[in-house]
Amino acid sequence: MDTKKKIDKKRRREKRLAYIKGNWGNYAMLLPGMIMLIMFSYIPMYGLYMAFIDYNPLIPNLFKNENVGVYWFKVMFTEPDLWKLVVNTLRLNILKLIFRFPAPIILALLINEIGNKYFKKIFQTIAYLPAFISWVIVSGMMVIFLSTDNGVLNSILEQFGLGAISWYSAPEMWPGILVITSIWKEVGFGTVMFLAAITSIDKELYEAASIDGAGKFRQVIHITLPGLASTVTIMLILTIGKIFADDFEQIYTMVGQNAILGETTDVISTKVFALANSGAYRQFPLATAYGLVQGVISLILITISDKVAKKLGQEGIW
Amino acid sequence: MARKSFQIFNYIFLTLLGVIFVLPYLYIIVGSFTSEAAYLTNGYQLWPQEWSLDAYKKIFTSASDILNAFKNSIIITVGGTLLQLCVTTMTAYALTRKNLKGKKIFMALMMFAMLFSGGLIPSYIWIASTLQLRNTYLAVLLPGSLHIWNCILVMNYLRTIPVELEEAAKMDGCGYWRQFVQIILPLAVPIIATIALYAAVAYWNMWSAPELYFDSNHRHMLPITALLRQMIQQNLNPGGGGVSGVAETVKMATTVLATVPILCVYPFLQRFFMSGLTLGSVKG
Repeated sequence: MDTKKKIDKKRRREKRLAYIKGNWGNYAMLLPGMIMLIMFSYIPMYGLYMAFIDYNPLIPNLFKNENVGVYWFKVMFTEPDLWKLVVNTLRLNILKLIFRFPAPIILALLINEIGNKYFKKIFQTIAYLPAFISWVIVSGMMVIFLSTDNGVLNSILEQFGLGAISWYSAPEMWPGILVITSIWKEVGFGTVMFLAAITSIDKELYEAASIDGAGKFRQVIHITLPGLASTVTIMLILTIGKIFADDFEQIYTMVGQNAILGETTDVISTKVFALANSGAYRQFPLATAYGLVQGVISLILITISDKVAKKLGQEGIW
Repeated sequence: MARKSFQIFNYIFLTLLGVIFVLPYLYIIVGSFTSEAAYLTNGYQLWPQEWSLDAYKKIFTSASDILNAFKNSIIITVGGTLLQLCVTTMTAYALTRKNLKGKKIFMALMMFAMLFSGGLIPSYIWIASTLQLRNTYLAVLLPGSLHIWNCILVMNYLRTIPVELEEAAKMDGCGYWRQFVQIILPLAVPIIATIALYAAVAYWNMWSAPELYFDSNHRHMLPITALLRQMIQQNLNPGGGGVSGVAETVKMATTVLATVPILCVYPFLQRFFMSGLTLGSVKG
């Protein structure tokens, strides 16, 4: 019995080897990608162990450092900073959900009503461009508008007899500024997507409705919006799934290391980046712990939201 | 009547919105052609008292950091895009071959890596200290060379190529690698062009990885986007680090230089993006 099993095992292994030999070209082609994946995605994951040690940069091998268990997580949960970071992240994401999420849908509906082909095309081109420029460029543009002494916004305010505002030391303004600029940068991208969804709605539905005497407005309510419902639902679920993630690129470029504005704009990823960039090695385990908690919560939320999207008969992210 | 007034409102509203979209670019472009003196007296204006090419002269005549950074951006963009195209298309090709054993494992590895990562600091320590790639371009080029989302786009496209074509090639004695280079790649040009443009834009706009991996003694390696960010940091938080002593008009000219390449590829990008959008929706 035992020998038979052994022979079976051996035969299977030989078969597998023969298969790989016969298809070596395939595996060779897969090799570079898989090496990159393991080198730069999976091996760094072992570094998450750092969140559980008392890190000494003189001992490069993490596993030779002293294991302190969940010490850093305890530190994290008692730090007043944590709650600021969480509240800032959630506040920004909820504001973006309320204002940025519906913006491309409304814009797509409005553009769809435009008859002039050229107007439509030019508007789309202009609105879509910011999707391709860097947040760094946007941050430079905002300096022009928000500078205290000679910024465009302040000169407008002064012309109306209102006092100038020193935007870069007014933290209460920044959730709004971040939401508005993110609409400016990202609305075009979403609009193009929703317009594509609108054009895929069956034209006959509109014809039938207008024969039945339905006006344009009622056609939008009864045909266009229901036609968009599935796209909107999936986008909504996926956006909610990302509610614990933050827009590092935007916040770090537009605010930088400005301690005053940090009151409302500091989020986990900007804190982690600032720590990594400052070379404050002793703080690395704490920053890793922050990143780990955010990563795990985000992973769980995105997985759940994808499952929900699939349950509703949508395709999900993958 | 209500219909007509809505139309008028719609055109006016969208025109105003269009102006808001264009205005920031105008300020930057006009600002870069303003003389420093006019800027200092009047601030940012759409029609300056005195036009001037000084900002550009400063950038192009002196052996400036900015021109050097522009060169670095080109190195990173060309190198990164070529590397990503090679690795990503090869992986996509291998993963779309029929009856590849272990395919599910490879796909699962890619999917998980798209959703979860070791995070910034573990990656930083691994790449900078363990692999000793600090202050090399490899540190910013290698990690993104397998772009998982783009790989999925290529896979979706390759699935639409009829199998018969490859079978016929095989019958004619065409080997595995020749099939890839001579048959598949030419047919996949539309999707390859699409991801090439995505990759080029992403590498051109990259700033955080170079800032992280090039230390203060290697600032001459920074790409233009990173250098610009450090200049702007001065405006956000005076005295709070970054690059100081750069005239405002020069900053605006740098911003224009950092945007021009994107504006050049934009027409192609826009066209390809629409096809990329539809390609992406064909899931297998």
